Amino acid sequence: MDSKATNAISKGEMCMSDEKRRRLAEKLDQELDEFIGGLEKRSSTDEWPEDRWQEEMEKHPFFMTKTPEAGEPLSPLMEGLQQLKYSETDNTPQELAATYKEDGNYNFKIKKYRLAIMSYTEGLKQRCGDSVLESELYNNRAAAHFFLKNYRSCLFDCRAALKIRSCYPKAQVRAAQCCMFLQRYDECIALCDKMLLGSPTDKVSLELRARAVAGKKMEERNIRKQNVSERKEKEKEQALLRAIKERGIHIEGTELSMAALEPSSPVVAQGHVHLDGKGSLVWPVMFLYPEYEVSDLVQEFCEDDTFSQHLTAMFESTPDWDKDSSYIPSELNIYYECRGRHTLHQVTASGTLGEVLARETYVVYGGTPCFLVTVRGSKVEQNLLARYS
Amino acid sequence: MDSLEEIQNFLDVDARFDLKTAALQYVLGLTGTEAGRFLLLQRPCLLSSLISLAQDKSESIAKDACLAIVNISADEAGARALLSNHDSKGDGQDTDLYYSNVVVVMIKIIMDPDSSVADPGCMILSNLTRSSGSTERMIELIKKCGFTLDHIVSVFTNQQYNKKGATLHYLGSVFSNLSQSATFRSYLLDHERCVIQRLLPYTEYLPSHVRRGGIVGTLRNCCFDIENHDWLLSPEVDILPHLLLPLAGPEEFTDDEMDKLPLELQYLPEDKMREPDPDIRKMLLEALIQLCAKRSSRELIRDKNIYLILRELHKWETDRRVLLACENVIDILIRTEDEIGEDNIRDIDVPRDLHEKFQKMDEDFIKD
Repeated sequence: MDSKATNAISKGEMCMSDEKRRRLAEKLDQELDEFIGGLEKRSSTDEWPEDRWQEEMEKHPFFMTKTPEAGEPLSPLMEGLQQLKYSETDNTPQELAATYKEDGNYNFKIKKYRLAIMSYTEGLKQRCGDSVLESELYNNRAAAHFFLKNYRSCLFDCRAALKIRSCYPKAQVRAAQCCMFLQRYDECIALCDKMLLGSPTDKVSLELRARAVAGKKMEERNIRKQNVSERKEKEKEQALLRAIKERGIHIEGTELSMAALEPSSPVVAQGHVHLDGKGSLVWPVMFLYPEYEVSDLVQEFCEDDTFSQHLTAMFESTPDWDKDSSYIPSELNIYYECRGRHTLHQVTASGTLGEVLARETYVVYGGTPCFLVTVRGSKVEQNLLARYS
Repeated sequence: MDSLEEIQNFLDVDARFDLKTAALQYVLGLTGTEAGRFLLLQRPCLLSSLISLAQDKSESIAKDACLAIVNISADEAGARALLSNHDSKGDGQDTDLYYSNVVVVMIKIIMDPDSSVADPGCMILSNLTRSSGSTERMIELIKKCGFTLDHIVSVFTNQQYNKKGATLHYLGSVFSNLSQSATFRSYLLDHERCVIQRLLPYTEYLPSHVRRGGIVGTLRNCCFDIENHDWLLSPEVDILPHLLLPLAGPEEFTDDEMDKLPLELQYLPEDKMREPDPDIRKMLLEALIQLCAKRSSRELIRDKNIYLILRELHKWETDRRVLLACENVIDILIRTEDEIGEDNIRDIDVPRDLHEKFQKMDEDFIKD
């Protein structure tokens, strides 16, 4: 019983009740939690968040399945590679130019011609001094332009390539083809001849040359045809002006020209004065009726025709505006005014147009001779005459 | 020692410049007369010297030498002598610094863009090629120089080939002479290449009647081979307009008539001039007559309204020989095929007495 007592005594000193033990364990747990919680949080930026690992794969240059669009933000790894590739401090101009050429070729293969052109242009900007490389850049850029149908730009680039390397078959053929599209036939023929000197039986050059020759023939003939018709037109005009001058007819303005004969009224637009087959002048003539403020246009009044002829035809049936049916040819008087002298002159109906136009007092305005028509003895006529006396 | 023998010594490329010049001047003077040339031909060594001097570095020496050779080669005898002239070393191989064969020398001169004597060179070659016996050999020699006929043709068609201003017009005459040879013609008329097509435009080359005449002569000779007629008249070559343009004037035709004409002959401007040289006009008509041999060709030519051009030419023409040639072509064109009867009029055998009669009629017509 002593052991029990000793046990009890040692127990007593260090013994805890279960309760105490439990409370101690809890306290230790809590302290541990606080300790861990007190440690600094480190964010795991270098690790891929688990739920978005596919996204991150897509951004990685080694695993991406499609090229990044222009303007898209690049992942840091991409940016790093890019800088390595394009940095001017790490690469010589020649390396850069070669890189840009590769870029261009890649874009060309996937038919992104504009991007290809941009790449080649960057390559050329390097001025790397390697003439073979530069001529290739020009040639490839020319090819890209060709597919975009920019034939002029293509031709410029071909020429640039040929300037560096005069015997560059690809550039020569492409240049010749551009010339055909641009209808620069002489240049095309010259290029083909150059190519044929090297390979005289080359079918492509022979065919291109034949097409250029044919195109040139057609073009030249069309120009000649145009010249002939222009010349004829001019001759007609000269003959007309000469006829008018010979007859002593006065036209408005100081100079006798085609412009002065242009009809001013849109109604007359079709009826320009002209020479007929027999060498007589045919005029558009306007008749004005002051009584009713209407007018009649005779499209073709030959200078040898009399006024009676036309009046008879014009008044064959009574016009709508002739309310009193008073406009009968035999009862009509014809006048014209001389603006310069402010006078009114009468015209005999049995006379010809030509005789009147030749008069000193007659001037043709707006390419259209004009006449006033009144009923003989009418009030309107009296008023008219009064205005001019 | 007679004077020529003395002169001979100074005609060496290594002789003193002033002595060379004086000696050459003397020789050049001799070439101006028939007697003088005869004297020179007695001395083949002299000819060799001249050929060497044509390659002299001094432009004035080379020029005088070439001019002398031009004069000598103008005669048949002189041409023969020059052609048979070999270097006295005799093995025929040109191992010398200066080539001895006159043809080889001239070709090298012509093909040298910096040569100042390229034009006399062409004239010499033209003289040498005149006799038909030498053409085959000539073509061989050209190849021997390392040049192809393509090279020669492209030099001819390149306006700016020679940097010293030589025009190379006489190459046209060379071609005309060489076209007497079937080999040369087959090269010119190669269907797989573009040779004759490059020469066609020169029938209208205004600046030089030599070039024009040379090309027209070449074309005329090419028209003698009947098997090529279809090809020549086809769009691949289209020789017809180039033969007719020099014969066409500024005359106007109606739109209907115009439409049938070949494109190049349509709407010609009012200042269009005809070929001024009657010999060239005659050659053009001779070429046309040859092309009328076959029925199919005749029909083609008729369809293209070529008669109109010839009709107008006939009104304008004053030279009797050309008029006769013109009438000969017109006669064939205005007749119908039934009247002609034969497909190939060259196959007809004309009896001898009729042949003589026709010849007399022609001569009388010309003399009129």
